[in-house]
Amino acid sequence: MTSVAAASATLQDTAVALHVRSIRKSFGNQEVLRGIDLDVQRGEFLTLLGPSGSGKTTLLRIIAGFESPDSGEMKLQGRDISRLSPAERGLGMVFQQYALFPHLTVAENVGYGLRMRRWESGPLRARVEHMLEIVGLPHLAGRKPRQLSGGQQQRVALARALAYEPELLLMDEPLGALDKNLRLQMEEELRRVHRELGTTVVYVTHDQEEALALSDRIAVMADGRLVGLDTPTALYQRPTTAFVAKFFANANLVPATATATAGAGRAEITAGESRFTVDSELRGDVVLAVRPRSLRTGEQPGGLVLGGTVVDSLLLGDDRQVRVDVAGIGAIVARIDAAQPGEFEPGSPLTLSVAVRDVTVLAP
Amino acid sequence: MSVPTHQAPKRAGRTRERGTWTPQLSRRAGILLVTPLVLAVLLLVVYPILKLLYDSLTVGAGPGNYVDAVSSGAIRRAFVHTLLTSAAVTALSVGIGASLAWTLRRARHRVATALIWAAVLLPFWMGVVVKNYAFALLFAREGLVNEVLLGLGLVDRPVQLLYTTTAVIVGMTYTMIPYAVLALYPSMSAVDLELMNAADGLGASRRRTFTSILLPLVMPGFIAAAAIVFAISIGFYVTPVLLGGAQAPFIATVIGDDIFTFFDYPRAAAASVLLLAIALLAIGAALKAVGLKAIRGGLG
Amino acid sequence: MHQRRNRVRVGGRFAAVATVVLLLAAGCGSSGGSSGGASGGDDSAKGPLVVASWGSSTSESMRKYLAEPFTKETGIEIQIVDAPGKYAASVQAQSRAGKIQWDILDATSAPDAYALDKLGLLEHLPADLKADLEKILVKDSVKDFGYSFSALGYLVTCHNKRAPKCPGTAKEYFDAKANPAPRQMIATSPLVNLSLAELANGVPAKELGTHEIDLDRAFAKLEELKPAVKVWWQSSDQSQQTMRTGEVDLGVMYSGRAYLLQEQGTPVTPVWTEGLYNPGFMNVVKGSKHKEASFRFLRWIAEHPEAQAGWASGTRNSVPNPKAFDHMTPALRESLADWPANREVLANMNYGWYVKNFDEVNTRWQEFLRG
Repeated sequence: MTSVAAASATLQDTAVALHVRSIRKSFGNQEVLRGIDLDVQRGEFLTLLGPSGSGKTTLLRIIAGFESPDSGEMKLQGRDISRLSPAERGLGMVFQQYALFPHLTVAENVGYGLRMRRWESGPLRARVEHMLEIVGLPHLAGRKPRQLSGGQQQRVALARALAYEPELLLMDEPLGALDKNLRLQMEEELRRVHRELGTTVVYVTHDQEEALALSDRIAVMADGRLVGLDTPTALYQRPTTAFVAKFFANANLVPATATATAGAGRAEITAGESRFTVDSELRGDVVLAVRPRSLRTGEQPGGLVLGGTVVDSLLLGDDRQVRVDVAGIGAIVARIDAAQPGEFEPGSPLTLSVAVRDVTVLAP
Repeated sequence: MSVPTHQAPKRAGRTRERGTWTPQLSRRAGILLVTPLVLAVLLLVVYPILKLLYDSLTVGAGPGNYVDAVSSGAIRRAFVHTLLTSAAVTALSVGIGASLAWTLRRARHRVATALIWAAVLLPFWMGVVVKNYAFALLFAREGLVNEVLLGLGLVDRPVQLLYTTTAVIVGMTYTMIPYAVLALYPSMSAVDLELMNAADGLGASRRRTFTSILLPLVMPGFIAAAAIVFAISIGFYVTPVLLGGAQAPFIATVIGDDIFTFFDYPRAAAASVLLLAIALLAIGAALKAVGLKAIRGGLG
Repeated sequence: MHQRRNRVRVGGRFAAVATVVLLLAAGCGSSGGSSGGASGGDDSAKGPLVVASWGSSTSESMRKYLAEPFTKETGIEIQIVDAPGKYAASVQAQSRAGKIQWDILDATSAPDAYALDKLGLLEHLPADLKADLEKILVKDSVKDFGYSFSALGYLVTCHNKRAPKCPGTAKEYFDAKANPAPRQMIATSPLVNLSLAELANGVPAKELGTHEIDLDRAFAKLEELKPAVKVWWQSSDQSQQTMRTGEVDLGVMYSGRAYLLQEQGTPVTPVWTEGLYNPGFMNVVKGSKHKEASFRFLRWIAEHPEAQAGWASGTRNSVPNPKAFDHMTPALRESLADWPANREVLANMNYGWYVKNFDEVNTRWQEFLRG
C-alpha cells in the first residue's frame, strides 16, 4: 500500500457508516423504541428483522429523518445528522409502496434526486441511463409508473434511490407487495446491485427468509429492543434468545430444567425422560431450542427424545413436515426427508430425537 | 354415498321457474329504468335551452336581439361586472378552499377535522337571506368591521363597505368556499403523502416539493374547482344587489328585469344565451385541460 | 310460511297502489283549489280576498286597521301579500299567464296605477259605487280605476346629526359640491327622480304637474348627482335602514317612513318644500274572482273615517276621507301629505306624460342606473 493510500485509509478509518446510540421514541404514551444501539459497517447489507410492532419501520424512518427520536444520537460517516432534514441527510430511500411520482416518466423519476442537486442535463441523462441499465429497464425510460408492473416499479424506485450514490440506502419492506416468484427474483437483483455498487444498505422486513437471503448481518428486533445482532448463520445456528430462536430459525422451544453438575460451565439438562449434559451457565428453568431440521425419527440414545402422536403431516416437495403432539410440551414441528419411510398418518405414534450438539439451551 | 343435487325450491302456488338474481340488468330492464330520467332531462333541461336558443334567434328582432343585448349599456356593464367579479371570487374561493382542503387532508385530530368541516359547510346550511343579512350587518357603516377598524385606529372615519364591489366579492366568496373545498378535497385526498416524503428524501426543499410534486398532482382538481366555482358565480342573482346596490347588478338580475319588468323577452333570451355560452366555455376549457375524470371528481 | 309470504306480497302491492292513488288525489286537489276558470261568479261575493301591499308598516296597518275589522263585520277573509314596488310588473305577469292571483292593490303608486289602467288591467268602479265615493271622499280623489289612498310625499330627509344643514329646495339637494354627504334615492321610480331633477333645473313647483320633462336635461342633472348617491333603495324598509345604520346621511324617501323613523328613535328631519305629491290608489285587479267582495271592501274603507285615521297613524300616509282628520292627533295630522300646509308646498308629478312615454323613460332609466 502506497503512503498516499495509507494516509487516506487512516483519514477514513471510520468503517462505521451509520452509528446509532440510545435511540428512544414514544408515540403518545406508547414506547416504540426503547434504546437502540447499532453500528452499520460501510458496505454491509444490514437487515432490521422483526414482527409488526417491533419498531423496525420507526427506526428506519428516524434514520431517514421523517421522524425525530425523543433521545439518542445518530452519526453518518462520523457526521451528526440528528438535526438535519431528510433532504440534507442525502440518504437514498425505497418506500414500501415505492412512492414513484405518477406524473413523471421513469427517467424523470430516476433523475429527480439529481435534478434537486442541480446536475447539468448531460451528466444527468447519462447517469439516469446508467442506473436504468443497472436495474435492467433501459427500454422503459419514457413510460409512466402506472404503465409498469409491480416488479418494474420496484426497480425504478431502487434506481431512483441510488442515482446520486447516497452514503446509505434505506429500504422499507420493498418486496412486500410482490408475489413469491417475483420476490425471489428481486432478491437476486438486490444482491447483484449491492455487489456492483457496494452501497451500505439498511433493510427492513418481517420475513426471515428474505433476511437470510440478502443480509450480511441481521438485527432482530422485538418490542422496541434489539434482541439479536449477528450474521444470519450465527443467528440461525446459535440463537441468543428464545425469541430469536423461534422467530428466526422457527425452532421448537422445549421447556426443561438445568441443574449444576460436575465441571465448570456445565449443566445437566432434564427434559421429560431425557437427560444430558451441555455447556451452559444457566440454572433452573430453561428452554431448549430445537430446529425442525435437526429432528430425526426414532430414538437416539444420549440425546433429547420426544415421543408423541402425529397431528398432521405435510409433503412439501423434497421435505416432509410433521407436527407431533408431545405430552406435557405441546406441538413439535419436524422436517425430515420426504423419502424416509414411516407411519405418519394423523393419530399414529411417533418418536423424534435430536443430537445434543443440535440443542441450544436458552433462558426462557 | 350419493351427492345431493341442487334444486330450485318449489313454492306453493307458483309453477313458473324463477331465474337466479343477478346484479347485471338485462338490456331491456336497463333501458326501461333509465328512460324516465332521460325523458325528464330532455323535457326539463334540453328542450327549454333549445327553445331559448331558437327564440333568441327568431322572436323579436331575430339575430338582431344579440345586437340589442350587446348595445345596451346596462347589459354590457352587467356582463363585464359579472365576469370580473366572478373571476375574483373564483380566485379567492379556490385559494382559500385549497388551503382548507389541504388542512383537512393533513389534520390528525378528529375534533379539528370535524370543526373545520363544520365551518366550511356552514354557508351551505345557511339560507341566502341569512348570509346576506349577516354581511349587511357586518359591513354597515356602524357595523362590526368598521367598529374594529376604528377601534384599532386603522381609519379615523367609518369606511364605506356595504354597497361596494368588495362587499359583493366577500359575500360571494363566503358562499362559494364550500363548493371549492368539496371540489378540491377529492384530488387532495388522492395525493399520496408518502410522495412528499420521497421528494424530501431525494433532496427537495419544501418549496420545490410543492412546485414539482404537489402542485402538478392537484392542478387538475384546481382547474375543475375553478371552472365549477366560476360557472356558478356568474349566475348569481340576489347577493350582488343586496350587497352591491341596485346600480351594480349581475347579468342574471338584468335579464330578470328584462323579462319581468320590461317584458323584452327576446333581448333577455339573447343575453341568457350569451351567459350560458360563457359558462359552457369555462367548463369546456377546463374539461379540455384536465379531462372528464377530474371534473367528475370535483362535482363530487 | 307460504301464506305469510303471499300476504306480504299482496300487502306490498296494495300499498303501492294506494300510494299512487293518494298522490294523484293530492295533485288534483291542490290544482283544483286554485284552478282557473271562467265561472268565478260563485266566489265573487266571498273571500278570501288577496290584498297586495307594501310590507312592513303598510301591510301591518292594512291588517290591523282595515282588514281585521272588515273581516269581523262581514266574515269575508282577507289575505295580505307583500310585494313592495312590484305591483305593476306582477299584475302584468299574472295577466299574461292568465292567472290573476291578486284581488286588491293596496296604495298603488300613482304612476303604476295610471300605467296599469292604460293597459286595461284594473277593474273600473261600478257607477253607483263611484257616485257614492265622490260624495264622501275628498275632491279629485275618485278616478275610474279606484280612489286615492295613502297619499304621500317624496321628501328630502336629513339625519339631524350627520346632515345638520338640510337642503331646503330641490336645487340645493342636487348641489353635491356644496353638500357632498352620501345620499339615497329611489331605484324603482324614474318619474320621481326625473321630476326632482327638473325642479332642480328650475321648473317651478306649481307647474311640474303639467310640465313635459326634458329627458336629456333631467338625466344630465341626475348624472351630475350620481357619484354622491350611495344607495338606490328598492324597498321603503331599505330606505329606513340606511338612514338608521348610517350608510347615507340624507336622501329622498317616503314621508310616512321618515316620520316612522323619527318615532322609532332615529333623529331625522323631513323637508316638505318641493317634495313630490304621490297619491296612492286603492285598485281592484281586472279579472279578480272576488270582484263583489273587493268592491265591498273598498266601500267599507271609504265609509270608515276612524279606521282610516287608525291606518294613517300606522303608516303616516294620508287618507281621503276628510272626516278622518277629526280622529287624529295634531302631530299625526301635520305629518300627512294631504294636510293643507303640506299639500301647498308639494309639487305634482305629470302621470299622463309618464304613461305616454313609459317605454322610453324606463329604458333610459335602466341605462342610467346600471349603464
